[in-house]
Amino acid sequence: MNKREENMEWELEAPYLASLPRTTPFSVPDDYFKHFQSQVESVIFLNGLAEKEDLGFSVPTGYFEDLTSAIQSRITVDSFANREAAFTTPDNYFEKLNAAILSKTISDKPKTKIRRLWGSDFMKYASAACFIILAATGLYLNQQNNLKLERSAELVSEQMLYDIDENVIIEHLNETQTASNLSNAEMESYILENYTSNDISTNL
Amino acid sequence: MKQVEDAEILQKFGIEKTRNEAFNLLITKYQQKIYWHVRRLVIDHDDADDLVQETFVKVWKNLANFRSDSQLYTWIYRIATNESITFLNKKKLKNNISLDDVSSELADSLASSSYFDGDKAQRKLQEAILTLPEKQRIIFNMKYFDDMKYDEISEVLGTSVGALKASFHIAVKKIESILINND
Repeated sequence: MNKREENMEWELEAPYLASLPRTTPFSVPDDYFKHFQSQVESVIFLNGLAEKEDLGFSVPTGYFEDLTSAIQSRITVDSFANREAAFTTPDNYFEKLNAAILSKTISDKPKTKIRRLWGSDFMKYASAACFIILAATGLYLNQQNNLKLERSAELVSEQMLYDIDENVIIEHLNETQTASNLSNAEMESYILENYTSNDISTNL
Repeated sequence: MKQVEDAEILQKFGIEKTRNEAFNLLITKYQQKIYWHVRRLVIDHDDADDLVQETFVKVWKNLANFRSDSQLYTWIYRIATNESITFLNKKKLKNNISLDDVSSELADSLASSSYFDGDKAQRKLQEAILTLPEKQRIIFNMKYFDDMKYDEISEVLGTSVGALKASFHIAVKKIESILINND
């Protein structure tokens, strides 16, 4: 069976597929096939180099014989080195440490507690008003008290005067020689000035 | 440019002085065919580039042992196909995904590829082809795009002609159905 016959079989079964252009709709970078050959040659050259056993390098005598034990020793040493790192720190510890130290030293300022005497302005003004009222009341009462004392003192002295006999007064006056030097007229005027007519009439 | 015959290439390759010249002739003759065959399988240009280079490196290493019991073209094709299948299998194992997911990845690569020149119908066709099982997809590509005979495909894949015919017909019916239903 040739190609044409082979194709006719399926083209009859799938006419839509057969009608489509049989081209691959992919593209390649510019000049891809132009440089492809040199690329393959480079790869072949490099592979050839890699496959060569002797590339001009040498190793010390007995290197490969001792290599196994050297690797095992290295593994043992590394396992001991890793044991020292048994202690761990939380994640990102050292990244945060610097900032934490600074916040507790340079950045930290003593914070004073502020306690308000009054919780609000109303309390403040109410307290001031109460104080003023109390002070004024105190002053007023004090003043009133003083007046009372003065009046009572006056009353007391007046009463004392009423309680003293006129003969005593006369005698006192005679003793002090003040009255002897006074004339009758002067005495009379003194009595009239200091005693009422009622007093005079009553006591005389 | 006149195509050099395979026999001439093989002859020149056998002589050390002309080996490089023969290899250059071989690359010039087959690079595009092999490239497009691989590209249709792996979709991505960079992946195809790596695989095609690897193919020709293997050709260089083994051409001296080529026994001419098959055509040079089918022998190179076989190397390229095996490289592509190995690549796709490695992709599956590497990402721990199933074959369906590999096809899905290739479809994503197709959708995002900057090296796609086709129209809407061609994109649909490529997407439909990606729904086929791996081996069926290879058979379809070789028959539909490369227009290879079943005998040649059999040489490449080591599968009987009968099995190839059956597989190709199933693929054609499936793709036709997808294209018509999604149109």
